[in-house]
Amino acid sequence: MPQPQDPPLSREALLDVFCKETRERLARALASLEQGPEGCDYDQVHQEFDSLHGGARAVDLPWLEHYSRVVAGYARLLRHLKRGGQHEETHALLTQAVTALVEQCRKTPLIELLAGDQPEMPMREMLNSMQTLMQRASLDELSPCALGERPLVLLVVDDSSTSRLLFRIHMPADSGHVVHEAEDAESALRVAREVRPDVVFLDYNMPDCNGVEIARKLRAVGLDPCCILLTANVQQAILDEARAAGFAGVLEKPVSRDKIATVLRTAT
Amino acid sequence: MHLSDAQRDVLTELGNIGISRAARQLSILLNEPIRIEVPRVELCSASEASGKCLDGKSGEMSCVYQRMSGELTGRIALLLPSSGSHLLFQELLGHAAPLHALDLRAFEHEAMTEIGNILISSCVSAMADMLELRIDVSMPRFAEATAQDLFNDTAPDREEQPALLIHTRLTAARRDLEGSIVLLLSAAAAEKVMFAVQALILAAD
Repeated sequence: MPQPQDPPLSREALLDVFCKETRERLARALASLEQGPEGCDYDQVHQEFDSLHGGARAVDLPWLEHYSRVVAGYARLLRHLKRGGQHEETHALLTQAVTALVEQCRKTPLIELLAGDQPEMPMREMLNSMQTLMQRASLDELSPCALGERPLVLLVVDDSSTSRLLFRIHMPADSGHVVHEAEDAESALRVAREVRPDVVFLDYNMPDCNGVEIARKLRAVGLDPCCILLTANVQQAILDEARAAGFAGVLEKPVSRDKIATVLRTAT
Repeated sequence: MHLSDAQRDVLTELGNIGISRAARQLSILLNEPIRIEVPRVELCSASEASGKCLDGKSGEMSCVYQRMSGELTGRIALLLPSSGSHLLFQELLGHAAPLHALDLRAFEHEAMTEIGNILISSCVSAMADMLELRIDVSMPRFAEATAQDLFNDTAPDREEQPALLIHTRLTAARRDLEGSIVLLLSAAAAEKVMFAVQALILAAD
């Protein structure tokens, strides 16, 4: 016999719980940072902001989601640099970023702050600093997420299992992006409804209908992901057709790690 | 139908552009340079075409072929000796293959179909852009047979009317891998290509 289920929490109630958790997480992260470059547990700071990022995503607060991802990535970078004793000069910037958020919380009730637009915080400075540090420390292999780019939900629609496998092989394991697959229009619509992808890669030439038609079907049911054509058939007529249908880019087969990274950077 | 030197020259360049783009994709897949011969352009019947392309090759061959439609109709195929097809698969996806032998065979065929599709589609797209025509391709088909049987199966028709044949060999020397791309157009499609080629020649003058 089915059990009665609790009614789902309202957004206000969810935000209430989230605000309480956020306050605690910020306090713990700041306390650790106040231990100074030697005493700070960057792992803990990373974990607090990583969890904050997940929570912000769940309650649909894009600016905080992005900000916490940047801070988490920065803490992870400092943890790495601490091993080489190269972290002291950047500790202050991380502390400043966390303090800025805490200060904003003091000035404005947290629930209003979270529900409003992004407040003034040193996000751009952090991203620039991260890129400089990574180049200096030759950390090119760190994932896009460590650079502060938010992880994406991707859907690859291709009737060829080999093509989907090649996509997975070339997607960096540490990218943080989640890859889902579909082999035809029907499964693409089903999976897209379930996972709400940020980006859909659509093969052009498929047995039941082509990638452009599938993009139209997705839009017809109220889904509006960023669509990218996945094809080796890059003749101008097909590129024009895709552009007219609102596609944001083309990923030319055979795919490679660099091609995927480039198309995600330019199209999202 | 007769080919003038100027027409033959443009058709060779058309084949060269298409096959070069396919070779570039194969080069990316294998991470090694791919050498291509100057494409050969011939007017012949479908039954003569096999002899011209296969250069007396015999033995088991693998083939991925697709039908072309839209503003240009015909067939295009990637032909590899079976040993080369197996080598290509092992290089690209051998490490990801399932262990069970039956699955492995199906996996290899599926993989070769997709690899062939990539090479053929890139070749077709380059030619479509050069001719300013739209060319659609059917779903790719994979087949293994002797060279002669394959060619009979993939020929657009069995009639003895002349067709336009453009073909060349691609070679990955480091891996001892060699294959061919064969484009066979029906007489009607060949006329259309000639018309587009003539327009290109006039535009260049």
